[in-house]
Amino acid sequence: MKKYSVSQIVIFLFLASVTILTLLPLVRTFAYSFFAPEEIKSILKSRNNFEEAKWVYGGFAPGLFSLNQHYKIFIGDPAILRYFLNSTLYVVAILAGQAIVIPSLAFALAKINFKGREWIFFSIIVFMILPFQVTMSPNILTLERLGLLKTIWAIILPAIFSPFYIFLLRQYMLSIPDELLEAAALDGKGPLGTYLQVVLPVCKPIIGAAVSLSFADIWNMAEQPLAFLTSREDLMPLSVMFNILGDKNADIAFAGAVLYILPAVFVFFFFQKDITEGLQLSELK
Amino acid sequence: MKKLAIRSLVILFAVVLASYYFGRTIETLSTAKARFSYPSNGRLLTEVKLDAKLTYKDETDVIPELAKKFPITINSVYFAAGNSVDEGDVIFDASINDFDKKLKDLNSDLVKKTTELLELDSKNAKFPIRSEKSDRYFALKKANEALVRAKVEQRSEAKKQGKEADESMWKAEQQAYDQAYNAYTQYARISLQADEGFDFIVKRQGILDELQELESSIEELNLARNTLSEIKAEKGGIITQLSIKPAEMYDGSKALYKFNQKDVPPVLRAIVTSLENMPEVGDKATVKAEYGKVNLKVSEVGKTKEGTRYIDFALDEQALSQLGGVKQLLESEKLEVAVQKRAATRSTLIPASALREEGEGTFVYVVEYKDNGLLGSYQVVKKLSVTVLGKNDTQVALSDDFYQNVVDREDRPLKDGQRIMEIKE
Repeated sequence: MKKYSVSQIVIFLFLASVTILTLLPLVRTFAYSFFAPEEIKSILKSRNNFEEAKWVYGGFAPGLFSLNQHYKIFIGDPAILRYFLNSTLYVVAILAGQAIVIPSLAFALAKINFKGREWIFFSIIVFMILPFQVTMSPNILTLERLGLLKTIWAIILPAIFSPFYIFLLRQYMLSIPDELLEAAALDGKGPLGTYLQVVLPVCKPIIGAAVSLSFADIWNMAEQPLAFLTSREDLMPLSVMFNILGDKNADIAFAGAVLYILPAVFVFFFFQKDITEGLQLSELK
Repeated sequence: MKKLAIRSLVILFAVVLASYYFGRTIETLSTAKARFSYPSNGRLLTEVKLDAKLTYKDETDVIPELAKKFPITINSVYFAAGNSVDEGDVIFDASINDFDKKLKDLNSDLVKKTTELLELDSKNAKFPIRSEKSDRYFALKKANEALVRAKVEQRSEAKKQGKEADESMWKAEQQAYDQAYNAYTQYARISLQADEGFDFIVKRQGILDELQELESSIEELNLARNTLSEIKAEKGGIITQLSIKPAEMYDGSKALYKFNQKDVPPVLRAIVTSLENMPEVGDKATVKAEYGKVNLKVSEVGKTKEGTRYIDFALDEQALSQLGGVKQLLESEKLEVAVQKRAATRSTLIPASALREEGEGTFVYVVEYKDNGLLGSYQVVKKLSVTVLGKNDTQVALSDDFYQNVVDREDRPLKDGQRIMEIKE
């Protein structure tokens, strides 16, 4: 039997503790989604009303195992699913747009020499640094002038041109040897052929990482819908609607949270390898 | 791991999509549904159903006066109740009962009296047929008759007015009588001698009076025959009642027929024995006609001479026509008139079917919206006790003020706090 040193055991215990603490909210969310609504309500009512002399309830097992929360979300009143589908629509549309725009733009900025390339890259860096709050007002004015404010395009179009992922991919593509591209040219490939058949396959890990990160960004976005979809509650994504979750929805709060978390978990598992590989290979590591 | 993740993701979205489309269907099937009505504020319109009959307010009894003296037998009837007649139209043909015999008897009496007069005159040819004494006697007799008649008439009139009659009322007749009496007695005292001619003159005058009476009777009989053989309408109008038939006898003891003038329209009259909320003039009413309903209005509310309360509904030509005409209305026993009466005060009005009873109390289910935060809102029923002020077939008036929709005609039994959906028609 392999023997561990004391320091290893200490490190293991430390990491295990951190892992448990990190996963605790997630596990509790899943566990609480099987609590009966009344039990959840009584727990939530005790918030901010603790008695110092008593321990706060921290159990994971429900007093009565109940699928009531899930029933309510999926059958009883599936209104929440509309917001889930809105989120899905935004994710699919934005990722599709980004798949067309971002790798090609990054390729051009990394591997094609043309006048003003550095200025364009500089402006992308500036946009990446600027917080959303700074660009919000010009964006609203532009979208209003285009007649796109309070439509789904107000969310989709600006998000397609995400400077961070252009920067990320460009930096990755810089590491692709020019000889590889020259070899492709010698084999008779044009710029588009080289991009599609050589560059993109090589960039697969970083693209996977970018997709998963972008998915998380879009799935969790809140400022853009609140700013661009004012009063259009029917177009709001689930991430925004969860902000108004209160005592009245306590009976579905945790099942809703599980529903909200699941796609992100699945996407993470799908791109898990790409995320680590892509980020390691990029110059950002 | 990748396969598992992508499969899980696909399954999750498939479940979400299926739930989104079918979850609402399940919810709809499992939730109680009802029609909602918003309570209005107004005066309750109650409907009272009354039995009414066509009535002519200006109806007069037609009694031929001569028929009282000369009973008749009806030969033909040319009109019926409800018919319109013009002035001069012959309504009946009739004949005086035993007319020939009556005329023969009168003529026979006339001949007898004439013979008696002739015999008296021939036996007393030596006497004049008038004298000073007899003139004064007949003047006294005439003055006496006038005095008696005046006394009887004045006493009757005074009694009618609740007064006591006194002699001043027939003073002139009394003076005329006294004067005639003095004239006669003064003359009788002066001419004390036997006056055989006086008795003759008095007797002769008696026969002359009887002859005069017989002639008058014959004239009256002939007049009656001319008048009663064809009984005509004196004015244009409507015959409102006519019950006598051919071959029946009539003696003037009751109306031969009843009649209403043309310019006085009939009404539908409902006799009311007990009614809490009497309609007022102008209240609307409806009567079922063969085709649809006829709208009427209360034209008069009052009491008959006998003390019974009545409600009249005005009828115009169009309404009469829609109800089948006067003849049909007169023949029908009664018509059901629905009078609409607005309550005096405003109240909360809800559909009658929304009111529920529990023991001796009444309540309604009102709809309340529950904010469901993320899920929008949903509706539940709330039991609300109410006080009923009045009701009709379709509405109920409540004293309570509330502004929520009321639940009406639900598809399953409800209980307080139950979730509900609206059925929209």
